[in-house]
Amino acid sequence: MKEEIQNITERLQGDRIIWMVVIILFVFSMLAVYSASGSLAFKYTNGDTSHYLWKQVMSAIGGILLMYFAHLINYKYYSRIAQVLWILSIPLLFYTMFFGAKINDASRWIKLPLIGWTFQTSDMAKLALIMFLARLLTQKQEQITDFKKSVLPMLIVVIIPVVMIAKDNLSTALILFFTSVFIMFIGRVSLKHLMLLFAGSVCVLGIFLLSLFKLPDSMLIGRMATWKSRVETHFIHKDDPDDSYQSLQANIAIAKGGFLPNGPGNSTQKNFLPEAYSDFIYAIIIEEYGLIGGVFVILLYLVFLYRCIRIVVRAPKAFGAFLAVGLGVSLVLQAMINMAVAVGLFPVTGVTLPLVSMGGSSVVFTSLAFGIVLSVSRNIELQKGEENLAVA
Amino acid sequence: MMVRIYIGFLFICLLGCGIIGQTFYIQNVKGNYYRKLSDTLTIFPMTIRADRGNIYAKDGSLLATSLPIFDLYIDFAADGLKKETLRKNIDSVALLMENMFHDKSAAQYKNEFQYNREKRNRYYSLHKSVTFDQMSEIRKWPLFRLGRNKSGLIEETKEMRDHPFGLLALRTLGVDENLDGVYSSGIELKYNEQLQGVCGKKLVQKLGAGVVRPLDSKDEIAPQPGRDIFTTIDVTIQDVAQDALRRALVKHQADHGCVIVMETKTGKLRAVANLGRKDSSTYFEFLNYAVREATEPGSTFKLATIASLMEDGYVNMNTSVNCGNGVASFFNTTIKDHEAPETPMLTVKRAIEVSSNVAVAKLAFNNYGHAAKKFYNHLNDFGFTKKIEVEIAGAGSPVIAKPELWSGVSSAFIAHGYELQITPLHTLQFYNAIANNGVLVKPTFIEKVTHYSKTVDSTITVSSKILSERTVSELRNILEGVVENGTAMNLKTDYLQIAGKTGTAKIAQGKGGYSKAVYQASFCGYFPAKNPQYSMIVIINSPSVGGYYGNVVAGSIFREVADKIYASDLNMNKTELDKSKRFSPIVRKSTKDDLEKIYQALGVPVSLGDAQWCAFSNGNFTGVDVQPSVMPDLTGMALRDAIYMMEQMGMKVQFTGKGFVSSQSIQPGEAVKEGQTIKLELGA
Repeated sequence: MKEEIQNITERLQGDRIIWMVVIILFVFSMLAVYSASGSLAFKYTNGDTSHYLWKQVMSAIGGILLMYFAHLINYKYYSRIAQVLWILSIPLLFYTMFFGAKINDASRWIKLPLIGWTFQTSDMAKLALIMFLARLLTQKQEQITDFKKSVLPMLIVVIIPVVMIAKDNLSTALILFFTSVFIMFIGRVSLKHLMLLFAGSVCVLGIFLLSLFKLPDSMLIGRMATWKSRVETHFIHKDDPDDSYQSLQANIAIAKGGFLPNGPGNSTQKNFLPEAYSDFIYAIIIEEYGLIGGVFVILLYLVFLYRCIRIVVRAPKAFGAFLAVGLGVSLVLQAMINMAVAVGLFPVTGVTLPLVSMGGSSVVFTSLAFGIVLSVSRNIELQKGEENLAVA
Repeated sequence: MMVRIYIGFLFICLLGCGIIGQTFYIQNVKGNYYRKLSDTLTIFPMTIRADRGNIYAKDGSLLATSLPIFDLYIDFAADGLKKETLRKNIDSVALLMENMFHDKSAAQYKNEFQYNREKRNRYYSLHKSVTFDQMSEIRKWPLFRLGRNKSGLIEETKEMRDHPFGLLALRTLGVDENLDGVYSSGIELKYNEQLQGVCGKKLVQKLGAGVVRPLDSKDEIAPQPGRDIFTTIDVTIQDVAQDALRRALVKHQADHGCVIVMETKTGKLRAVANLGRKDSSTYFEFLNYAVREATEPGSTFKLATIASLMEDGYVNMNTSVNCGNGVASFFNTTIKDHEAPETPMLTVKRAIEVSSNVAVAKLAFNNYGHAAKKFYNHLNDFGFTKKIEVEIAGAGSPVIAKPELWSGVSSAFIAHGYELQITPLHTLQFYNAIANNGVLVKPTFIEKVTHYSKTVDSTITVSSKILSERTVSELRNILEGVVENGTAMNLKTDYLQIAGKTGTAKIAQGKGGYSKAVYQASFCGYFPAKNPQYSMIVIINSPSVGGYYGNVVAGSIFREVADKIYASDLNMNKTELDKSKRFSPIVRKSTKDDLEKIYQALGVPVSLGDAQWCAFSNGNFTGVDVQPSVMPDLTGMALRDAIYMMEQMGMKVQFTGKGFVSSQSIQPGEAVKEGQTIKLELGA
């Protein structure tokens, strides 16, 4: 038995700490989803509460398998894959915009023919974009200060999918854009260009917000009315309990969870808080595991990010470094934003907590992202090993 | 590059600190606010409805009880209601709705469903007031059997009062006109507080949409079910009265009418039937005329005048009074008899028998013309001046002027039933006192009030002696005379002797006065005349076809109802039984033990002697002498007894036929031995 475990741990190459973070997050996920999906189970499965637990267990196992296979592939291949994936994502996004499944006026999902799986194209586009950005940053390092030759292509690579996503999923698009800029900052794009970019985007955002609030409601098309009310809810009527039921219930959940854990399954708010099992799972985690549990989850993500940075230290300016940091930043930033929303620091967005929230398709791309980071770390370890051997 | 990476890392760490800080802020600064808010949002007291008490008839038949009924709605935007499910089932549901309710066609239903689905109506009214039985069916239908969330079906429960006997005494029971739990009349209104019980309260906590759980709290107050009311109404008598009244009303095309039957000794009202015209052939319980409607009573009131005069010693039944030619003047008004009397001089008895207005008017005018107060005091004693406090809401008050306000002719008019208004119940109460040997008992609707099957309140008979023995016997003599050879001779039969008085009053109609008068036919009396068990009043208002006289219109109803009550009432019908005819048992010969058991069970006293075997002959039982080794007479025995007896003697029995032993192979008195065989023939 011991040998078997040793066997497995030996096969699991790559950063052991990242593997551990992943496993712990999945454990949190199963506990919290099992607890929070109770009302869902009551509604849709005649009270079969284990239904959603098994679903989550299956998706965790699937995720780990996916990570395992992704980390076996030499990360250098991801450079090419990134390019292909990015190009592929453009028509897919286009297709989704017009033919995707509509939920609440937003078409974000497409159904894969034959298999019948639905997935959110923006998840795929996000992964593709970050990887592609890492590739570009690696390629352009020598001429990184040249706006036309390096910054502009990067911007084009970023802007196209972001705009396409924005129509139906503004918050994801904004986060993706911000993440991209963040990665470009790390990737040594000159501060001057970044400031310019910042100013430009502030202008665009300003015009957009202005039109949102100055135009009469009748002229708001698509999801503009939803955005408006969300922004209003967060910034204007923050203390009006009727206006933001979800945020209020999340606050109550957080208030009910003390400093120390109440214990798994002891949340009462899970039945009142809409999307308790996905977007607001962090509030339930705090209610059940206390502030301590909340801090622990944040630390897990930070540890993961730190391990990604460690890769850069070992292999600066390499594609692997940008890939690891880019994906790390993207995942952790998403996690932070999700948690910030849950505690009421940010307006309500539809962002999940990576690996923890219940939800099928996002697990696939999140796991792939983790797998790729692990692949980088595995290959760097191998290289180091070879170097060591060479030195000896 | 590393510097930038660490700046980025620091930024994200700060974000993490912000989240932790905000969490800390929510927990510790605003924590109490949110926790309290959560309680107020999710914990609230819920009312537990108490079951309304039932109303029963005298014999325990259920007259009014509460049933749940349902208002149905569909939430077309229910989370679980899938487009596909709706599409598949919409036709069947529409068709089932049409078949069950017949109010809209299936196509109409389908259209409405589609329209409201389109509109995402969350509260489409499917159908109101669905019965429990229908509801049980509906819950099995396609779509709806999927439950609240997947079908969007919303059931709202209401309480409906059900009357198993239909219209029977409905006005007396009381009606919830608008199905809103508010009763506008009758026992339901008067006893509302007792019937409705006390609502309970419990704290519940909301557990998500539409689901609550009771909190285990010591403050929970259990609901107290309402009390049950046992009325004095006798379903059989009520049915007879109501049915007879309905037929009479239709026959005479009258506006409305009522019948009240009261138990003489106790004042318990056994039937209160009220019917008013809806159209020429349907009558409905609109108002409780019996206790509510005060009108001028007319001739039935004459008896009160005579009673008053007798009590004061002014007259007896043989006192003569001059009626002249049936017309008398008092100051400038005239009072006329319906037809001129047979002779000018009439005894008081005869005057009432022919219902002479002139006679009573004269007697009252002469004796009370200057002593109004004396007359009034008697009427007060007789209960005519006060409202009768019965146990149902809406009892009518009599209208009679105080004696100080009487004009010179008031006594003459009041004497024959004008210038005052009383309810039918007032008249009945007085006649009942005559039947009850001068003791006036207060009419009552309520036998007892029970709570958890325990009697918590029962009606006590309130009575007062208002007439002397002498007056009573003379008044009863007169009332019997009315039926024997007076205005109600048409009601005389050999079967059941009744006593009573007719009345045919002209009722002034509002401002039109007597010019637009309508007639009110009435008959009030009691039966059986010699041993009164029940008193009854029948009033028919504005009969328009087939006469309007009290004897014909009202009297015949009285007769019919009285006959039926008499026929079905064992107590009243009891005649002395002839002992010899009493009851001839089929058992002619049997053991003493068996016979004793049988007669005990039948409740018939019998003397059987001491012998083990008894035989019946000439109306008496004699012991059968059984000697060992001597064959007894077995004829008349049942087979079982015969076999038992023979086997006791050690003999073997063979038999043919069925019935009782008719002959035996060994003759009585012959000597027998053990083991011998006897053949029996059985016959009727």
